[in-house]
Amino acid sequence: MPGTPDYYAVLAVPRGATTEQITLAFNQQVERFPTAERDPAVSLSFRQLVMAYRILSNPDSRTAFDQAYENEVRPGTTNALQIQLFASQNPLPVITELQVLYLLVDIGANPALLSERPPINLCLVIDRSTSMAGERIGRVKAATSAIAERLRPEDSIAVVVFSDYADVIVPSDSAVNVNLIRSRTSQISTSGATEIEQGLRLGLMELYKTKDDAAVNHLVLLTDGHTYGDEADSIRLAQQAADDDISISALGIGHEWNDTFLDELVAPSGGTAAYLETSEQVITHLEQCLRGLGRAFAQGLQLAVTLPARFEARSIHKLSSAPSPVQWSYDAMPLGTLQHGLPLTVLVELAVHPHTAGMTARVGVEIRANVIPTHQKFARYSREIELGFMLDPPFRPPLPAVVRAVNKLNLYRLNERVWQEVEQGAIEDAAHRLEKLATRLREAGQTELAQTALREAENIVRTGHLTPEGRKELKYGTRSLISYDHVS
Amino acid sequence: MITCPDCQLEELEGTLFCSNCGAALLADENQARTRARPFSKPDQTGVSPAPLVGKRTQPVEVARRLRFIIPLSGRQVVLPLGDRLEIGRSDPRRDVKPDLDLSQDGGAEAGVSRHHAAIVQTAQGLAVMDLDSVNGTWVNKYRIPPRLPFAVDNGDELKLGELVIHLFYEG
Repeated sequence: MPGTPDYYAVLAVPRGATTEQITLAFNQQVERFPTAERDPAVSLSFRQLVMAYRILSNPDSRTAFDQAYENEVRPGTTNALQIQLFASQNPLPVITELQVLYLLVDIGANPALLSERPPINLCLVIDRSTSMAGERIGRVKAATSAIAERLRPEDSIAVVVFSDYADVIVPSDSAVNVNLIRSRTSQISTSGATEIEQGLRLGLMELYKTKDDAAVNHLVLLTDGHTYGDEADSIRLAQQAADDDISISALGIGHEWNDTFLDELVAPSGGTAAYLETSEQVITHLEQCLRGLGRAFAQGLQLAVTLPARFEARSIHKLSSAPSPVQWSYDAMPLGTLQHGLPLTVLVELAVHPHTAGMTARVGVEIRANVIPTHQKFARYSREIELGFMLDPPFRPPLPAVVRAVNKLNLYRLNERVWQEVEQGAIEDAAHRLEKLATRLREAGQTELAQTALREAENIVRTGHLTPEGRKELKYGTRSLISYDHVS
Repeated sequence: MITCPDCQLEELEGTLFCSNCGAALLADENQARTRARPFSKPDQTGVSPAPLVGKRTQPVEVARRLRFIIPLSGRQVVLPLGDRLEIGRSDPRRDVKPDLDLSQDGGAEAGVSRHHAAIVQTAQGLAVMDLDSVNGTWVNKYRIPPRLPFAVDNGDELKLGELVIHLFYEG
């Protein structure tokens, strides 16, 4: 069916959308048309929209369309990854100055390839420095045993503890033995300082021993403190691990740890850093982490964006599952792991130089990934979007999904600017921006976070800096706003 | 360039949110340029639109029903259009029950009054009237003075306090 548009893209719904979602999307899309254009006889795009709804709302015609479409895109095969591209505006207006275009990239696992949970090769690296004494280490011990109980015979687990030096208390090459893990972890005592690089190095060594390409290889760092002098070495280790398909996530307990450092540590492998206000949250976060690992569908995801002439990348942000800025590169940008049922959303902000009316430009994205269920290494999937240029295009509000994504990025950025201003000593600017942030958070329905922002604004004016807990609450609170949201 | 309505920062065309203060920039300048709505942009001469006053004669029927879309909650409501359709927030204790009740759409947080505004039929067409609300009513970014009817059209945006609703004609 050459020439047939992708009706899912026309309605801006994921391929797994329910009939209700399709109806809702159709209604939303209709609202974007001026009344005069809501007539299939008048507007080609409206005709396509009605057609898309007619075909996708009927299960029979939908199945037929899905099959025909798959055959056209990839004759004979089914795509493991489903990629969709949405632009904030198309066609773009012809203007004499630079303009901004947002591109939303939605990457999902093909539900048809739903498979068994892959084996998990896990290593817990636990901070046992003096500050962990008491309830914190107690909770971590309990959580470690609880996690071990949830593992399966094909999995493996190692436990490494560290302070000034590191020890393997449960080696990875022994079978999962809950009793052994319980007795070994119960003997952990607290003393000394925090040297993360030591623990990380030993933990990774354990993971390499049992590393399996068919498994999900993951290291969880649990810490409550600052590490001193070994940050650069730790990040190099994390980089190396990412290159070898080992992902790292970090759980920071309390508010005395260095969030910038932990963010950098998990970035290369696309892992997440989480803020745990109290040690009670350790268990739920570890369980969540394990569930996520069990849903891993593809690892080592990389994104490459092909831009036509007169287009420039201004920024790239991964918005889910863990929001973070992505360093622009023409070659490959790491996106980490893709889970079943949890699409990965990337927002690309482009600057577009003037074009003349009637010109078209194509932006392409390519995703490379190691797909677990099909055992494909460096499988490539691509998608393109054609953008038109027109003098005075009819006004259409951008897709709600795009607006939502850009707004979340907006909140995240306001936050980041506050930290920068505080670090540069621009206290008044920071306080002012926090007040703005509070307004935006309130608009987004986040009353509690808005109050935290206001409290911190007052605090900055009084003391010249943010409280460590306020900083983390805002930073990770805003992040959780951004995460786990996708086009649907 | 687009100018941020909140902080006056200049941003590139196509930008959706102000990078300085985070205010939404969409549906503002862009919309005014391409979609000439009665009040979407203050008049060239700087004169605000005039209220609809004069003798009330037989109302002109433009639509029998109105569809309201509340983007914040995603809710859509279709209501029959009588002589007067009141918009506000219900309060059982005071026996307030507006035709369009915004209490479930975050109306209280957004500063919607109990008796906030009314859609009325006039000889010149459909109009909206602010009912002396605490936080004001806007029609396409133009704040209307209380107790005077102002023309509204199919597709217009109303803002009650901080809550935005869109109005569409239905047959």
